[in-house]
Amino acid sequence: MRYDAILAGVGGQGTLSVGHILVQSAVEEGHQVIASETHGMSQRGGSVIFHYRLGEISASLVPKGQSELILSGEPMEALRFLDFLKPNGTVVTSDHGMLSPVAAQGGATYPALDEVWKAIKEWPAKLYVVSANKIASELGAPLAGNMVLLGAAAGLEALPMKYEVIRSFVEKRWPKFAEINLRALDAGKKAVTE
Amino acid sequence: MESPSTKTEGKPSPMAVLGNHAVAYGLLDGGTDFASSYPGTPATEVMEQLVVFGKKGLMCADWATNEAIGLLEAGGAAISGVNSVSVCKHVGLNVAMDPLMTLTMTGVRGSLVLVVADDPAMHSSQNEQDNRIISLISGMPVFEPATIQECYDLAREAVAYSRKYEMPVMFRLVTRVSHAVGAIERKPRAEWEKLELVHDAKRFVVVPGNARVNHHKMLDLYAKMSADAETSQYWREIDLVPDPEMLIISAGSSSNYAHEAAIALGLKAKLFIPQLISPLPLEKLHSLLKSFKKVLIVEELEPFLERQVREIAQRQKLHDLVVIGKEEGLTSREGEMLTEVLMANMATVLGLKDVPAAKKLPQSSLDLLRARPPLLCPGCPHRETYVALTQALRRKEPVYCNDIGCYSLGVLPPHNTADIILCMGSSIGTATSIGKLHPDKTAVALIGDSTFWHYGLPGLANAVWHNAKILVVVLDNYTTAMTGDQPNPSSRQRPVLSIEKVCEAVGAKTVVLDPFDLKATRKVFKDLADEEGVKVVISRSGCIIPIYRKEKAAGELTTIEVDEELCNACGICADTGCPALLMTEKVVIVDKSLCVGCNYCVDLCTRGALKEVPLQ
Repeated sequence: MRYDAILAGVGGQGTLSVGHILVQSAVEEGHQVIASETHGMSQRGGSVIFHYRLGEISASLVPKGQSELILSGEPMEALRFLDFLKPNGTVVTSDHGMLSPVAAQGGATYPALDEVWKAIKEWPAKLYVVSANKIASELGAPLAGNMVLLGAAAGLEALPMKYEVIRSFVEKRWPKFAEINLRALDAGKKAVTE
Repeated sequence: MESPSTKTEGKPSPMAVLGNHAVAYGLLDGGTDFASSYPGTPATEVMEQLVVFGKKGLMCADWATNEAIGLLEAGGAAISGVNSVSVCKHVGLNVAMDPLMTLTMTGVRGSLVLVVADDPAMHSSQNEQDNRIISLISGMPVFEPATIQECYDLAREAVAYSRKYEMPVMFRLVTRVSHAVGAIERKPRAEWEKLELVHDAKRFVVVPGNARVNHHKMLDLYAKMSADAETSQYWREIDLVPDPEMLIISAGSSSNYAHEAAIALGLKAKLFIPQLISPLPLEKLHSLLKSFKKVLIVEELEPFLERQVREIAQRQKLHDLVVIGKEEGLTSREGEMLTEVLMANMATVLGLKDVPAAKKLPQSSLDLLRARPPLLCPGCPHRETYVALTQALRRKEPVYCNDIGCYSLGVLPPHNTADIILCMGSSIGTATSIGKLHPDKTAVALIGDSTFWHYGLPGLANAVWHNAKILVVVLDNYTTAMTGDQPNPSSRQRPVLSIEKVCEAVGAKTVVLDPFDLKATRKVFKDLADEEGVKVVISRSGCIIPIYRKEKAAGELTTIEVDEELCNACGICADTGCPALLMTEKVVIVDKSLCVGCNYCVDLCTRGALKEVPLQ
């Protein structure tokens, strides 16, 4: 099986945590997996990308135009890495826009979300917008937006593992936060499937 | 990433690890007993994992104050007969070059593996030097893995190789291998005969008479390693078709891209992937080269393999062989390779038609993007230091000689507190001469606690000795933060060495303060700036990341709430550049997914519009 995906976001959103779930669950499902992380420099507030690849392949970077999925914690980051996506691939993104203070102090404002959505759809891509931060906050866990998004992607069957497999991994990985993480996953699935 | 050791019916299933962790497992299982290193992206996690092994009692492993000391500790261990390792990033090797260039002459008795991670494209570095070249002047053999499993297997092999030839071995990584994640299968740990410490001054005391003998022996040994390389089988050969028409030579990470690109383009090629990249098996290469008319050399950065291939072609008079490499435009000497770029270049140099170029985002989409560079984290005490410093020196002409660490990010607005950054420890040395030569300016050296211990100390002694007029600010968050919270001599994880006592002892006027107290901090900077001599301000407050993690685990996170009635959008809080604060026309908005409730903005607000509340 060959499968490529890109996870994107802003440092501090838990992008790499989601990546690690996908990697270890793929290994335990018997897939050959290779991924690539962003490390170093400041941890929170910068642009983050995680490459995820399954199959008989050794290069850790997804070539442009080959990704099945872009899963992003931030709208502009989904657009930034959109050229990795296959035509008509899937984009699952949060609607929580974040403007870097560096951009803000240069006088920039956040672009209208409608324009971002339009640009993504015109790639062309199948776009799913999830109010991940809002949903997570309503669950009393404002930091679980990454789990809401993971639940949405798994619920859409846009990942190579079944929803239940992902769910059991999340439960195992952070036993202390299992309850809230599972509620966030389920809410993410519900947001895109109901 | 953590390394879950899952077991099914007694047989361990493969575990997913970082490339760097795979190297550490390989070193452990190869029989390494000692490790000493200074952290540096992208190499850090190798040593982090070795330290974990150390804590489990599997080896003796600890952080050193800099790369030279790390290599000296490892070198001393290896000379005394212990299998050892030192790990650094590519520029860290520059610091360790002095011991390295002599260790390859004396050789070692126990194994010595020097793991070096290069950073093509400079993801988090000041240059992209190609350390493979070092083997040409040092005689140091070099292994380079391409896959995660090879990180493990070859690291294990490097220990045995070093032990066999009594020679230090370089284990070369690049960012995309170090920070790749994949599965490994482990082998049992190798057992080595224990070597006694012996006194061998003729070999290990490098007075000229001995050193001349050592150099001669090293050249003989290199010739032997070269000859042995022919039969070592440290390479992979992949035929993409039964009768390949061209040869592709590529090693490490580059070979992964070459492999993928060649398949995608349907090239009728044979891939030769050396794993021991120095010394190369020259006879083996000759026998391959003479059976092809065309060879492509695919490598990032310098034409290291290419020059050796061209040398073979010339020496063996392979006049009909077409060698395609850097000058032909196959790869660049800058940055890192990408499969789609390599495909396009291959298509060009081979004259292939109908190869679709990767589609680009239209300009209208690019116009919607806003910059999102790395930033000082919300709650980072360096921001507070910079706010106070820039306010205090507003009416002066500061020259900011900054250094390597998170605080390098002061180069960005709104702080703009970096005019010069060269390398680890460069701040105090560069500020010293600027203080001497430009008395109308205020020479400021900005350096972190880890960098202070790394290479700041000799610079400080020099500055005081010369009575230079400089303001040294030690941004002390008591950890090596940028590489992910490794301990250093003044971190709080063990008995602390006092930076202030050292500074006072060498004779610098020294003040310690808490940067969250803006008024007091600003006053100290202002008062000290024009004083004669070396002044040291230790701006001390813990890195927010470990604090945040502790609060998160304890369920004690807080955030900031804005009273929209009281906020008049004056901008004082957001002007600090905190990523969690966004100014709008009417009020400031707090991004609760980023805010850590550090309270700095609460203290700054003159209208009492901000309040710390539990995060829920």
